[in-house]
Amino acid sequence: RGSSVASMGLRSGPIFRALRGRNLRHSQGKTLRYMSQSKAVNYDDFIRPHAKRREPSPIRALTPLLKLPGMISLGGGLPNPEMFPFKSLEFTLEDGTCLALKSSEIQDAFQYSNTPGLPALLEFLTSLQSSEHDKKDNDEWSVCVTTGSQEALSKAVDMLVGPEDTVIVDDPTYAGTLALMRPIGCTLAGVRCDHEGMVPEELARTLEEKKHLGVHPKVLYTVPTGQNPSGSTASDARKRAIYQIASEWNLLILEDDPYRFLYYGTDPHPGEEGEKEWERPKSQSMFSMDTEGRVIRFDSISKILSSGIRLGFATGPKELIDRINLHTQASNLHPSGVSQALCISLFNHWKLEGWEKHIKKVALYYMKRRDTFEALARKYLSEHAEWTTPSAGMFVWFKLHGIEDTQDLIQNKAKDANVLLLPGQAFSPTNEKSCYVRAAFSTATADDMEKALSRFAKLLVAAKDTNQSPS
Amino acid sequence: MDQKRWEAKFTPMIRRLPKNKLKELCAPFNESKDIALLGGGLPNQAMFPLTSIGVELAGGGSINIKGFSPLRAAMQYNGGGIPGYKPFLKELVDREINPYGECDKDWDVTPCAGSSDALSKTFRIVVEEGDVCFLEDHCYGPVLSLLTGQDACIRGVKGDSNGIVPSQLEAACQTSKKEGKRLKLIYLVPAGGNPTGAFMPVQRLRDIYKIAQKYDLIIVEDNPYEWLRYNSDLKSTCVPGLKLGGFKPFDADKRVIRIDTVSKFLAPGFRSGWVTAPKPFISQFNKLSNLSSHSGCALSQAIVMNILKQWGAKGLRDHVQKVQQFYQKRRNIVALALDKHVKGLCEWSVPQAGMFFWIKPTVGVKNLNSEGLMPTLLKHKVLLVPGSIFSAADANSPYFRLAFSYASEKDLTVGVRKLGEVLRDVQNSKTH
Repeated sequence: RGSSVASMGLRSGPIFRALRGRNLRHSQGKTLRYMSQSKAVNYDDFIRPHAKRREPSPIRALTPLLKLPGMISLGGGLPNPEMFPFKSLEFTLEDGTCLALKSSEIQDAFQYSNTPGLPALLEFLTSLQSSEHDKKDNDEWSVCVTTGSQEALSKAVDMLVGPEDTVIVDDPTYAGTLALMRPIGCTLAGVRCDHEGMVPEELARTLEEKKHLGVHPKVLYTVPTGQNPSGSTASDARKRAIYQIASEWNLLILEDDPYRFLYYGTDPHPGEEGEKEWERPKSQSMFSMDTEGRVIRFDSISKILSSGIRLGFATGPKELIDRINLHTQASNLHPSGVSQALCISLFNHWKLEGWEKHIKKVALYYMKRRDTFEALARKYLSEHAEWTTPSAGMFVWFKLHGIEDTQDLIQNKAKDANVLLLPGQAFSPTNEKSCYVRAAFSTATADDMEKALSRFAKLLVAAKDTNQSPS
Repeated sequence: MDQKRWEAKFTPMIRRLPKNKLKELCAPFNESKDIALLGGGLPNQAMFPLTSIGVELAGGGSINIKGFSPLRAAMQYNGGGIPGYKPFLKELVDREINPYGECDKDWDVTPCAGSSDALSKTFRIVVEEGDVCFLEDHCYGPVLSLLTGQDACIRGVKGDSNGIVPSQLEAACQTSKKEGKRLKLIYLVPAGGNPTGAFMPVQRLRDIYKIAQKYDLIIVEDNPYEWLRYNSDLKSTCVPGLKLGGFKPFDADKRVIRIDTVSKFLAPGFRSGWVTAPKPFISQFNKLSNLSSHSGCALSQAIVMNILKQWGAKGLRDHVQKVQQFYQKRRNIVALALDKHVKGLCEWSVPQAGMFFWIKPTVGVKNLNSEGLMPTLLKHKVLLVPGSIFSAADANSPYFRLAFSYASEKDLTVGVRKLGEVLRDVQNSKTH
């Protein structure tokens, strides 16, 4: 009786379970357990109830049936590619190389596609992560592509953070994440950072304090490389210490790392002749140290390829990445196929060697800008501010002498002085007054940098005079 | 519904969304010409490795994105839509959907990363735990997942081939009200719904609108298939062409959120669409977008805008006609095949839009569950989707959804013939 059907065990098999899975829509979901050598992280304790309730799309469960020989499918509601009005898609690179998509690739780009990303892109990114973070490609971790890393982060936060939670964050931290987390109603516990990011002793102290208040944070969010706004970069030793504490206190770590590939170190730019031999300084990510399945890592191509094509990728324990994919299945379905096709073409052309070459170019580019900017900062602001030379990214975090509230300064005085830097308060998890300002050196020309810094210096002198004079 | 009434419908989470303080702070600076900015943290475009993007169009013509500004539009952060896109979309909407004149200034249009992205954000803005959300009793799957995830109270309402039945909706509203629940919204696909293929004529739209007014419901109008409309005359090769409508033309109350997508008339791979709604809602939508997928992929927006600009109004209408003719032909093949092979074995209506037939077998046991027929379908090597998957009440369903968009013309005919064989099997079988 339909031997192929019986042999697939369809009556009781996964298809029917998935079809009947609609009855499980309100269930709690399986217990998720990740066993490693030393510890077991029970993700059940972290994932919020509504995220646990997400089930795979039962229509997708029908996909294996399509492969049965002779099967005629009137199932899937895919638009017909004959009606896609595109004949070719091609990209030109700076060196003049023209990458054109084959017709099968065009169809992949324009049709509904795989939730976590097109297979070819996933393959490249998985091998990239494997090589970059020294991790064997295995069943324990996986990658998903999202519409920018901000989107991946928002889904991870949705899965893990509720109004009753306290989240550990850097102080200062990325304003975009503050905007993401605050409306949830959770408490944000900022841990003091220095030029190397989050201070481990402060983290331990914060966790102890919270424990005494009966509060048990579950999630730690950090930007370990070229942090926006402080430009701080954590050393490997720091990251290990933070990881160790997270392990002791059973925290999950959200490692937000969009500037990883803009890590150039504290040495000055090697000059045009030195560029060829220059090598990217090594840096161990928290993901690479993760033996217990605690780290979800967020990468972005926004600073190195394009911010507008909205592509980022999350890497982490399979159970958690799968949960993010289930969310995607019910929200934006998958990242833009056109953007993915662009990247696949590019990565196939470059391969890992070409990727590395481009990364190196980008790092050196921002390194040079850092040098130019810092030289000017030393010229104009040495008396007015202190700061640490950033070893990654595009920001310098100035601590202004004698100014207590930089928001007031910028809001009320900077416009007339025709200069804009960003006040530190915007990056404070507890919205506290700040004596810091953030400057970006990514886009200004050298002339504009000089103009800005000289105006800013004048502004600071004037502000101090106002403070000192009786009024 | 004015600003105040909209705000009363927002979830606490959304009401807590802060204003973008940095943006506000920087705004006055952007007006000045001689400003020296070290404020924004944009990555430098010089490091983006592409110098041009080219798309050849199937009907002739091509798009070339090159040069600093066009590349910047396609490749850089776009803060809620690439330059010129929002006004372009507003113009498109104003032109193709005739609203009351006075509504225009109270509406806004904003891009999104496809309709599912818009729905996910929309529900996060207006659906609180326990809110009653009305939908057709068979409904698009992701909507059920999203609403379940928000702990909404889902109420499926019976429909016919013209969509949700007003008396049923009225009854459902009354019941919920008596239960002391908070009635929030109704989700509808007015044209060519997935899975039912229902098409709401204007009178039905008006009847439903009256009920929405009575119970102060927000109407979430998901309209991807209104672009794919067909002639009810199976013998005609004429198609209706681009005729958008839905609820907006008579939404004097400003309670309608309309979602459009390029997925069905251009291509789904773009992940690109737009939301048309009253300003208070769009403002929150934009804020929420900023925290997640932004307004979607700038590259997609650049290509879509370029194509639509190149085509102009006439080119777009021509293209939509062509697409409608393509799908209409297939709809007709299936309609005729159904007549030939399954008459008397099941009930169906011929869809006037979309990609689906909604078929109800009339053979077999009473209270048939179509899921139970899956082994027989597989035995005959034909695949349709059982209706229970779309059930808002998580219930059994006798229906099948048949898609005519993708299979070849030959397979459409053969597939329906096989469905006939399946149903005859069921008719003749004693066990089932």
